[in-house]
Amino acid sequence: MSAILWSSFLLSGGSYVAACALFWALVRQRPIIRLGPKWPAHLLQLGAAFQLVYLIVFSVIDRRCPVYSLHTALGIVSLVGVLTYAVLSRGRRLEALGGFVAASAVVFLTAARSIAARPPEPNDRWLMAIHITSNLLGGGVLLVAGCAAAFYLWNETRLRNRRVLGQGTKLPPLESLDAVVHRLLWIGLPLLTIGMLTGQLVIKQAEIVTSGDKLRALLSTASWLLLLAVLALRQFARWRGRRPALVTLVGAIGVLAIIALYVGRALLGDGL
Amino acid sequence: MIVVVGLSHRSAPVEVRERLAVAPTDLPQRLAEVKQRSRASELVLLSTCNRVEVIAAGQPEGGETPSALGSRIVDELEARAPNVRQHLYVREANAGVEHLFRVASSLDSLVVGEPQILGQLKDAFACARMASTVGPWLNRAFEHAFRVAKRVRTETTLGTGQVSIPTVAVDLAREIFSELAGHKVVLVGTGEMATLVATLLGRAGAHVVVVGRTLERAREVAQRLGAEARSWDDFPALLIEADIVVSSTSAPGYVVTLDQFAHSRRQRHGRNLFLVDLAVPRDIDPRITDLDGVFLYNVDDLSKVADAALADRRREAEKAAAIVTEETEHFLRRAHAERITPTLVALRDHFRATLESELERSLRGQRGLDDNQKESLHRALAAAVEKTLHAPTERLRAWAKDDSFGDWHTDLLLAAIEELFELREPQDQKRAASERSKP
Repeated sequence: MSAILWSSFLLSGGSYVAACALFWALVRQRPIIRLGPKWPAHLLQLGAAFQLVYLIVFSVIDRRCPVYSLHTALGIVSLVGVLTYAVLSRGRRLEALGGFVAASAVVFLTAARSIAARPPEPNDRWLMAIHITSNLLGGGVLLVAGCAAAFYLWNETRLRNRRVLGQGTKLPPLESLDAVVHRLLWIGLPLLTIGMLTGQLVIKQAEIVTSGDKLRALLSTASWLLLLAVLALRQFARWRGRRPALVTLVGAIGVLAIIALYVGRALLGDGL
Repeated sequence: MIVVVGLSHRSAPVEVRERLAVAPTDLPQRLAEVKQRSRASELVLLSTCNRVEVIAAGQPEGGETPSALGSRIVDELEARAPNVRQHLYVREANAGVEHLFRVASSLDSLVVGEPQILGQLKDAFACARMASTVGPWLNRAFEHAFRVAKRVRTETTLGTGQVSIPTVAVDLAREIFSELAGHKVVLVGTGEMATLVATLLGRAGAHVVVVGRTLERAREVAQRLGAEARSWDDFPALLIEADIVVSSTSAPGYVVTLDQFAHSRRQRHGRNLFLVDLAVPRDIDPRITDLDGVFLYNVDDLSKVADAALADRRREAEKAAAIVTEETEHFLRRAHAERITPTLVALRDHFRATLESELERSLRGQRGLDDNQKESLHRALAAAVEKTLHAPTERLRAWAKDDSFGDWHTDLLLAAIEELFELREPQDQKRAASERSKP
């Protein structure tokens, strides 16, 4: 079992690293090895498949539902990010975004590896399961949305300042990135809403509420409000381009900060 | 032995090139004629708007020099189009192979890196195959040329990046809008370059609207572009609908002012707008670029992008040339190594025939052997020949492939083998020796 665990972990990490390098080479039009343009995406999906095996094996060994283990929970975030990218990138020139998704997947995979802490079993297992699952799925989707928004801002600034990239460098078109951010917000925000509401219920049921819990609740409400504002303004005031991308990025950073605080609590204790 | 005879945009003006050009429908017949008259054993005819080339291979065993074949092809082309001789170039042997690889890789094209030439070369090769004018030499050379072109395309960015102002403008539009189809382009004025930009955008699927001070002139241009013409009064409304504005008027002041644009901006609801100002003096107020979602490029900005791409392309062309040189050497080395095959086959046949005849003679006096025993003796003899010649064969192949030994070394060895084992008639040996010295 442990051999499968280790090999799937290493193969997943290796595939993600290779996908990241190939995506970057594709964007720069400087091939590392002679491979077709679909190889980076295939490697990313292969990495996700290995990561799924890893998460299943880990959960079997740990004898725990994956959402109750921080280790697997972080893995689920990156897995959702990769799957979101795989669906979105069909028919779009989003190779540069693929590089970022692959890099984040490696970071999440290796960061999760260093966390061995087991949070205490919750009183209401179902409520907690819904809370964590919706937050993980929402976090994964919003991670990709944040990446896309960051790319939009970078590419938009470059085009406005007329900065010339190296010949053949392919960046995703602004319109595609804008559409991706918008679509991901529609998917991510409902998940985040469920996570936030169930989180409030969890806090109400909890015997002790730490300052870390309060901070996370505050951050989650602020991020949720920001992302809701973006969606509302897009829908009713037809917001487009730079401003929604900027606010989405801030909102996505807020969601990532919540995950970081959760991980930090597991690593440093309940003080956070 | 490969010979390339032809003319291109480098050696001949269009009025000369068109005299030798061959229509695709006439190609099979012309191939057969040139092959017959030039007595080439293999032939491919490439005819494009920038070049007409005959790529031929002679009989390796025929004792013919590449220059003799080249001269006959030159004569044939001269007979077809008098006074064309001075524009023709002849590339023989190694230079011929390298030229073919350069053409396939688009290094010899008018616009270096353009992709059409590879397709044209593939078509010419396919046509020659259909006409059965291709043999092992050209087959190998063309297959290798296609591989070299693929390698150049994969390992360099020679074919990417745009180097003219209109194509740079279209590329930038693609960086803003994922698909140009369905987007509205407003062409203000009828300047030549702006019209070219609008043409390219229209070809990419955008809906082009031409606006001019005089509706008649706008209609004239619109008709040429297959676009819609609108009067100048419609321009403020068009500025609200437009995704791309290409402007090139001779107006002394700004045609699109900041105030005018600020007014329409509210109704645009944050949609991105790409402004291409090709006029001098400028048509679009540069302060507009400070507004969100507006990307304004004037002639200088576009020239900078084109210059950067051109500099990159030059660097990439050097890399591509190095690949072509490397691949030419590789091809010639392989071709040279394969030239030892006839001698090796002859040597093997010679050994086998000698030993077989000796065995037959011995068996004639043996009455106690049945057919199975005789068959096993034949098999043992064949195996003995293979084993005896295995080491010398491998060594010869290694020497032929090894660059550190010169060509003369292999030629000398082959000549010695042929002489020692009487593999050829004396006159054939002389011819073969002279032939081997020319790839």
